Amino acid sequence: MSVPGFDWLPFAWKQDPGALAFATAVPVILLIAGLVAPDPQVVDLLFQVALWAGIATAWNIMGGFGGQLSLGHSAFYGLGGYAGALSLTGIGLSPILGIAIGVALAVMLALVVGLAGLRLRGPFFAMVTFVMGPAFQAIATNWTRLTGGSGGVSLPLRGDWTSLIFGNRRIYLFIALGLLAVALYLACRLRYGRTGIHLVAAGNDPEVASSLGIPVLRVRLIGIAASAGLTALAGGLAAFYVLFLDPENAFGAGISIKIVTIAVIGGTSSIVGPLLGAVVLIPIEQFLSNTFAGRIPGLSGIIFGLLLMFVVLAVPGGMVRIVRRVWSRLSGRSAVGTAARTGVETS
Amino acid sequence: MRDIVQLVVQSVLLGGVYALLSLGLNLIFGVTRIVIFVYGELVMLFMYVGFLFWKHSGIDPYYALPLLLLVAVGSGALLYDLLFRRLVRAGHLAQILATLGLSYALQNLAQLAWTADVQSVRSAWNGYSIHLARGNISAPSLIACVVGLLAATGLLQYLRRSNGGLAMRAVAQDRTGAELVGIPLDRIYRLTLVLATMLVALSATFMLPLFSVYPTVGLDFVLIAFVVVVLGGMGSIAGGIAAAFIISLIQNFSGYFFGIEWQDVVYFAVFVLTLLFRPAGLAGVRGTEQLGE
Repeated sequence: MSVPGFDWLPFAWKQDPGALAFATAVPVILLIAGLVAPDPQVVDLLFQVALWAGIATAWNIMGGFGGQLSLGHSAFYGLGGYAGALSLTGIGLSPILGIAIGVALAVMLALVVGLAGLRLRGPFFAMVTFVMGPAFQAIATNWTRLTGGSGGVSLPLRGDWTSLIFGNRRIYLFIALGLLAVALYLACRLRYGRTGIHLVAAGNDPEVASSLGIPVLRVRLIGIAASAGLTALAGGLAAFYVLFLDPENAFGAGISIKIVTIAVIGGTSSIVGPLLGAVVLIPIEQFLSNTFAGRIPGLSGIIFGLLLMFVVLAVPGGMVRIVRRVWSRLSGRSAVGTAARTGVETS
Repeated sequence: MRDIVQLVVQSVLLGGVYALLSLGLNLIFGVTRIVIFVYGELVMLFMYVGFLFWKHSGIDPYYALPLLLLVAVGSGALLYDLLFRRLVRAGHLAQILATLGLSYALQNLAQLAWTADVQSVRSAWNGYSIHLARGNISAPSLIACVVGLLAATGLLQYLRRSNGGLAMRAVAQDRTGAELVGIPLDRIYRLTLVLATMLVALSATFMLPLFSVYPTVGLDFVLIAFVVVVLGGMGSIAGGIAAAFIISLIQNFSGYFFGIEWQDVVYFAVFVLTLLFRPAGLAGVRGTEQLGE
């Protein structure tokens, strides 16, 4: 089992076979559902689930395994979207290159805020990333010559594969699933491989970790860079799916909070928590906004905000913890030991 | 030259307002070690209470202060009993996430209750201004600045002299030690929350004639309060006051040269530079930045 890039697999399989099976099954099921679904609305829902599952999985690399909360992932998401869109509308460059530039910018930004916040204990990283989202929203709003300001950027309705604009909406779903697969692969690798074990150790207790010779800052910077790069990639895809973006829906605080909520309610200790969170919460969110959007604005915001608070206080560990408990009761084995070993809890 | 003098005068006035704004956040962090991400929404809610009082009674919003303080005593105690009693014993990840969730819910609730419209009061005081340094100073910003400095001095004196204040400082320095010598932690935490909520009510009252109210206004305020508190040294009241004036100077001068709409970028830059070069803040003792749990 020494396939290059998969040397973590035996350890992961021994640690948590259920999570690996779930992480493989969900993208496959989404793919099959996307192939057979007749209704464009269903394809749209599947796309949203795959996209946000990928982003939340990326967030969880630092927020869950690393134990340092980024509350400004919208900055990375928006950088991917704006870099892709502006390279096409501004200079006619293929957005594939543009999004690559966005990913590079996001990684550089992640290293800067990482250097500022990840050396310190306590809430500093959460605070500095919380300020980061509004800062980039202000740049997108006010650098009008580059970004078009608060009016946003509209993308052309027609194009070919180099411009990432497809008439067939299913293709976006397939790309999103590819992205989710990459995110899950990286998350597994960063969770069960050497770097990931170091990351979790640094999250649990940085002093003990560094006294054991773990390069705490280095593994944290790797974690936040991977997380930011993936998020920028997804942000680029989202922009070309909607064919429009403005400062609010690219950089707004709502994006950051959505990512955090999906991951935390799903459960941050496992690679599959964010996946589970997206599979459950995105359909609920879509249902709420389809049903009540006109009459009760912000209903999903109220519900998810309160749910986030409730889960953190009453069910630390999220849905993954509940599933594990039910599973261990049904099978008669104790899964609590595994749950305790697999990462940082939120409390 | 005249512009520069004006900018400095405006910065001093705004600095007093920022000092007032960040007192509550700083006090709560100093005593309980919790960064409350819902702080801005508390300011927003009290501003709405003051705004609705003015709208329905027509009485100047300054006279709503006793009402707001009364509401603050009740809601501060309630906030402690319902939420913070659990939070003080939780890890700092749970503290951040729970207060963040509540803040997002409150923003959306405020939008539901009062729409997303930008609203502002018309206080009679807005008509008055003082001619100084070849420019005009509006009465409400002067009043807010003076109130901010008085409140900060009052809080420092309270922490230095009263029994409650001494107990708060003891808890801030060493929670376990304070408990061992018989300080009732639960009561001190509740007292801290009530006092901080009263400071929020105070700042909301005096900022009402200066700033508009809308459901996400709390985000603007919490960003300012964060930058001020981190630059000053988290938990240091005196450091926070100094930082408030520095931030308002930086903001006014950068606003003069680049435009005020870039202020969020300026906060972010100040934040990153502070953490990179002086993570303990201006007044912080070395090692303060390590105070996580």
